Amino acid sequence: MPWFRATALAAALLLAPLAAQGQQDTLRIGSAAADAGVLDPHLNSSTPGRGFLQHIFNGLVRLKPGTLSPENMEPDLAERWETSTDGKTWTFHIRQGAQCHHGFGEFTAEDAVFSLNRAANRETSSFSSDYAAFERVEATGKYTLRITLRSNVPSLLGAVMNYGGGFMVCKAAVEQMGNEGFRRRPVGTGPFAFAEYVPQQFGRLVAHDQYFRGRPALRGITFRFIPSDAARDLAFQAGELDMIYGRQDQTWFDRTRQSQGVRVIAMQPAEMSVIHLNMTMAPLDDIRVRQAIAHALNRDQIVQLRGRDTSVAAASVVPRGYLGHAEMPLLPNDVARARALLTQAGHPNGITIRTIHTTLPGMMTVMEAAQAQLRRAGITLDIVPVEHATFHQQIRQNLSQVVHFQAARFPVADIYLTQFFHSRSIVGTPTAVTNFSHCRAADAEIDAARSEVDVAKRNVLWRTAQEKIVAEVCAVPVYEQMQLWAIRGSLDLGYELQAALNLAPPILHTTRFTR
Amino acid sequence: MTAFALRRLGFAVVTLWAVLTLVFFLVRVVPGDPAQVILGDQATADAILAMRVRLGLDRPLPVQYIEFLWGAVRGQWGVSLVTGRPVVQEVLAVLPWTLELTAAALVIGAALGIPLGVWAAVNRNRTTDYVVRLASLLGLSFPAFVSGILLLIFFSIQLRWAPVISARRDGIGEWAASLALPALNLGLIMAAYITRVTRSAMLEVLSEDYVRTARAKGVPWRVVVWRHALRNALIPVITIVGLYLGVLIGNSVLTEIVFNRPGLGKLIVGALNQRDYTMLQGMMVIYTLIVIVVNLATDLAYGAADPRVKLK
Repeated sequence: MPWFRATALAAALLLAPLAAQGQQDTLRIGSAAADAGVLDPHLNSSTPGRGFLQHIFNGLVRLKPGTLSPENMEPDLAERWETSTDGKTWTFHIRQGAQCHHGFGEFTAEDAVFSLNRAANRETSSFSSDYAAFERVEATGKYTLRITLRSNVPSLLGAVMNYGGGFMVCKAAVEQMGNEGFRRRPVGTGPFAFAEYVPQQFGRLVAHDQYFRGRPALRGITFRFIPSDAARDLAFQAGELDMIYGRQDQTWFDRTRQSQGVRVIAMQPAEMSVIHLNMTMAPLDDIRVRQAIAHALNRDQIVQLRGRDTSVAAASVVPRGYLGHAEMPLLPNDVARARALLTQAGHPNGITIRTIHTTLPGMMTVMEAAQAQLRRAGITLDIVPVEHATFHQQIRQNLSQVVHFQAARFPVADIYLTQFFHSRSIVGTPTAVTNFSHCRAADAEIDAARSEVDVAKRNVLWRTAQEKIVAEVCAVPVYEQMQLWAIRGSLDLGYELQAALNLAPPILHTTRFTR
Repeated sequence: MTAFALRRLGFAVVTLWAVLTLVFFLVRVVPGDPAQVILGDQATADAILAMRVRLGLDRPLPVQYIEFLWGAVRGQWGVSLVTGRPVVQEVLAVLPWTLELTAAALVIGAALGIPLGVWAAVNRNRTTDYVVRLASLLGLSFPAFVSGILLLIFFSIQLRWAPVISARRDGIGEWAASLALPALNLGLIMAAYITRVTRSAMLEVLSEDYVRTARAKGVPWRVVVWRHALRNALIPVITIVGLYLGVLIGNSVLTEIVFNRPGLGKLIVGALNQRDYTMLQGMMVIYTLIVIVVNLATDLAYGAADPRVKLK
């Protein structure tokens, strides 16, 4: 009966997509960037780049998935590790049988040595400064790696974990393809292997069936690069994406949370928004003026503006959740006190200060709110808006009296304190990073904490450093912004997602669709 | 004709050199450092300096300029400063997407704009004319990203006729469905331009003596309008289409972003944000070449539309 066959064929064709939907085994992720950038884990420090590359590469150790605290470190390519009593020699035992993608062989201590030396080389790495304390990295056996340090570092494991320069590459692949070739076809040991990359459009990974923890349940991941919030949202609504980076505000959070079969997650690490005050430029060289600015700002109002579920008022100059964070009282909002301080400082008619500011809307909204708050205390804040790359260049040229900066870092107090408040990091110097305020109030404590092996004493030093910086009002911490993601309810990540250091939820070999 | 082509080729070379020189110096005058962008916000000043040396940005500008021109002459555009991928490869990867979107938008724009313009002209100062003029005004004043989102909400979310991610090549049907909305979005804007130009050109032509003569001789109105008048009104329409095509390629960036399509516009904006000098230079070459080719095609089309136009 031809009509029956034709009907059956038509029905099969119509139902095929539905059947395929029921057996979905490819995850589709919507990233907020236009492109992932260079596909080299030792060069790419961008959020979308790390979100993509974290599935291709492992570290020697890793943070327990979904968590942030360095205390939750667990084995990754290294099965176990030990350290000498002075903390300067670390031995890692590499697990046997971990395979590189695309047939590049077993991962051994030689690969680990190669990776760490590559990460420490400023010609091939953006993270070379993280390895300044490394004296020697050597393979003492096929599966044994020894790292010798010149001086103690607060978190050696942070330098060998699945983050930044700690991603392990396969030596044979780099040697065969060269650095340029490797950047077009990165090879690691992670649960997913690189398959395809179409600039501005998508990156595709396929399951690495020889993955040392087991065969991934998902057969692949497609990362779509969709910078438009609205377009990403619509693609998620239309069922074309399973997981998206959300618009970072309360309205989006509330609306998306009401959608059926969708989970919205506000995860750490929060990016802390801090207003840095350049202490070398008048009138900010007077502590009373800096205190007046701190009193004029109202954190609670700004948190209300950003959203109660998506942000929280800052409680120190180091964000919450970081090892060494110490909560402490900050100068409260008190406009009368701000005016009195300005009068004492010889500015009864107020002051005018200037900031070079990025045009990124999320940050600009906050600065405009701060501008309105400061005006009530007689402080005029002139905002000079510039495009983002220009902003990054000019604030490093010491051109701005006030710098509004928002950042998340590896969650150890040392990193935040060193990069933002140590005199070595003052902008305009050869070792500059992001000390825009020229703060040098806690150099001794920051340095002492780095080499202190006693955990309790180290925490005391970190607390003291934070107290000194707050007392000196080098900067005014404002609020912490969580990372918002929407995830389809049918996706089981395989762990409880509270945080993701690479700012994108990691997809594990156990991640799967439940229907 | 040969002399014409050779002369145009000479102009093209000079134009290309002028554009390349302008782009080379302009992108370097704009503040922002590619080394900083590549290394991210945790890089030390030393590391940024080392990256500038590695990228060759520490050398004197004249040296960089001569090296760049010599590379351009040999067809070597280098690699993207940010991604490390060859510029030619990146540009050629997105070029077909841009060309197909532009061509589809042009077809939609012409198919809607020319008949509407003619219709409005022959019904001058009647309701039809007012409606067409209002519609074309709306088309001109509606931002592409707003109309794009509205099209997506209606056709992709409500009706489910087309995908939101409009960049598929896994079958003719999928390709057509994914091209339809972005092409419509750009095509409607183009149609608005063409409608207005066609209407005004037709009004002028319809008042000419030869139109009156043709009518007096009893030639049917339909033939007068479509064969005699429209052909003579096409010159300004071709001019505006030629000019607008160049603009369209650059302006399609909003449509490419909203519909998640790769394309030259998006690549240019990305390269500009990242201060990717080599990528910008490579793309400007391609863009300039396209504009030159489109202008040449426009000149040739004048002759085809109106035999009185001679190319010397």
